[in-house]
Amino acid sequence: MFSEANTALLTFLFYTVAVFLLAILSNRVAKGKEFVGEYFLGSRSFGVWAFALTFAATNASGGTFMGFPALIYTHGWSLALWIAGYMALPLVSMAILGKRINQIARQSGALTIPEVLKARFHSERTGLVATSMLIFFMFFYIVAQFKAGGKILTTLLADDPIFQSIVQGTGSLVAPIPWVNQADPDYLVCLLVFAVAVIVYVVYGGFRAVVWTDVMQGIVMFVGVVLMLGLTLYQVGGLESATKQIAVMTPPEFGEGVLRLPPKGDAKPLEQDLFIPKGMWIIDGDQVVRVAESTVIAAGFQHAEPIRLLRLTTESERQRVRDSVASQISPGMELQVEVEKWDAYQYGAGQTGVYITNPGPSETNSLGFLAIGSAISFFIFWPFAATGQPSNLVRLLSFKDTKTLQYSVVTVSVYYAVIYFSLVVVFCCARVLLPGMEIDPDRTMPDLATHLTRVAGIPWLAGILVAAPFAAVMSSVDSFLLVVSSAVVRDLYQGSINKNASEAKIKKLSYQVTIVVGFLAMCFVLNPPKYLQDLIVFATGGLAACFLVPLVLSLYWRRMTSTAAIAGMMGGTLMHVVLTGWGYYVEQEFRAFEFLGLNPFLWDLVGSVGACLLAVLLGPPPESETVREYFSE
Amino acid sequence: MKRKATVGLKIESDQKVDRPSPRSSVLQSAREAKWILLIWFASFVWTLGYCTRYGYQPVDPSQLNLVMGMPHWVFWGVVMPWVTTMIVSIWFALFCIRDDELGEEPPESGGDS
Repeated sequence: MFSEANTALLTFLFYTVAVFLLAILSNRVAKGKEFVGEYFLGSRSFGVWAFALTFAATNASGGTFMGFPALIYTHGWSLALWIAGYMALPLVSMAILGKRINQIARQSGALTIPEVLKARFHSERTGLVATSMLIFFMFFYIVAQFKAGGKILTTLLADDPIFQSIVQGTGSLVAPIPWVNQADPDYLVCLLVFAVAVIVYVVYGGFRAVVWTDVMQGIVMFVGVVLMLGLTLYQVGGLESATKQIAVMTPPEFGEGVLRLPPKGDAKPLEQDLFIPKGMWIIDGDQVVRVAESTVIAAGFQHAEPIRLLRLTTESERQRVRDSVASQISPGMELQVEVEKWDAYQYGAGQTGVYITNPGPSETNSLGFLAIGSAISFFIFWPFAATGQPSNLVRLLSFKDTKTLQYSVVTVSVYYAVIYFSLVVVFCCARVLLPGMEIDPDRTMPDLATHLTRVAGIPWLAGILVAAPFAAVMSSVDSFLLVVSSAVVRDLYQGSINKNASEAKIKKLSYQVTIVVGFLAMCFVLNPPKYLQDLIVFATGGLAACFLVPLVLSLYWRRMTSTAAIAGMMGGTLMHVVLTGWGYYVEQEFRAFEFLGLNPFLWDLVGSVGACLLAVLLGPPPESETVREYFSE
Repeated sequence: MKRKATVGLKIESDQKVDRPSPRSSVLQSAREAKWILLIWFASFVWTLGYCTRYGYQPVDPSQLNLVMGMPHWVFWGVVMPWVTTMIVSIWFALFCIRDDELGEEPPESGGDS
């Protein structure tokens, strides 16, 4: 019944049906309740499992199951140190602000983060600045997640014959439409399906549906990772065996080269085009080479156009490939590889042991993957950037009592410890099981899932394993979509434009805004800009830089003023923009400058704290009535 | 509402109150936040201290120092502090975070009850 080709499609169909069912159920539960509080915050009624898993799942985005495994595979055990900041993340990001922000939100009736700031200072201006910042940064985030959703689905469904026929039909359908026809048809189909699915269930079910699907997706992620851990350790012969094999590995080499048919005397000339797919192995004498992009040797020709190739440098890896890949093209026809120069890694080339120690190998950085300054920065960045993310903060407004917060810290602490450390172990072992994934590291997760289940003789299980990254993206994008919609409807429209809007009007507008934001994001990524991945980093860092310090000081410091909150938001944002501009000027890449080798987020926080303190010291004291309201005995 | 005593934190225990004063709640939350930062800092010092000292040395594949199948710096510098921080987080969440009243449900945001 199940084959490798259709498990992903079945998984996706199962998922879509499940989330729609949850949305319908959520819509029924919401009937009879006040609309805005229910739609944007689920009536602040979530218990331990719902709150804990929505928090955990929102944090674990597509990067956790696509980008992170790719990094582990490429750089080895140093990723254990890179991700170590997550050990304190649940406690820091949930418990430092959780109780206090929930209390203030209840006291003031606030449903969004800008509303909390507005209520804390009784200042429309503060709320408006927070809303503008939030919409600005969040839009980049949503756009990026939509792209990730489309890409992941494309990866998962790539081998499915039904999907391929749909893609062909779509390709000819959109061919005459300008701009749309520039997108790859497979990506276009996946983006459309993903976007429609997410928009529909968010619009229909609201925050409650988002939380319920997060719970389901959180469970899928957990089960998927634990199953992968067991299968991987079994197939690799135990962790000790894997680490010993990784220890002798040296990084591969990349080169631009030509694939050539053997001299004419040795082989028949080609009567038809020979397609050489991406990922194919070529064994040319002692060389074991992998094709990093598809190419064709046309009929009558002896060679293809130059393409990017990868060459293995470790004998044990070469032997594994020789054993498993006898020949992937016609019998008797062996290609020859011609490469003028193989490029070695900037750090770690030819060094054994480089994958099991820091800083880890790097193709582009001569200091290695994780210099000590970067390790320090990431240990600070992970927990505190998570604390300042509005999609996390808004969840802190939704738990029903302190007990829920307490047990959720327990749940998320265990959840993250299991998930993240298991991923490090699994994808370090993947180096042994799947050589040469450096040609497309983002495919490591789905390819490993397929490999593990095929070897174990249970291909249907691949469906559950590959569902994890899809679940992760979906659970992030739904949350961001709702945060932006609430900012527009609740903070801008109801807060500033039409304070006495009827419930029916707000309801209609909420649906419209969610659809429009989702549709805009989808259109924006039809042809994703080149630097989209960097925009994600820009948006994540920007949001935390903007909100963390002003919120902490607003919640805990009596002397904090509305002017200082605005100054803090602007200070953090300005520092973030300046460092990004500086980085672009120096490196010619859309990436913030790492002053003194430290993560730009640390400098953003310095900027934000400095601006807040300056504004408090130079400005008038806060109104005593406001202080009494939130701090007095 | 019963508010439990917390270990290591100076707060009133087993007091029966209808609703904590905002100030008492603020001070308690701030006190908890300081302890959380201290826990984070301890994990920072342990992890970065150990990994910086032992995790950046070149290794000879023929003489590996492995613990439970992983490089020793990963076990002592990441796994152990991670497990310890997790246990401390659980203990702190269950026994040190005070079970405060969060306040009345605002009338305009509805509610389940």
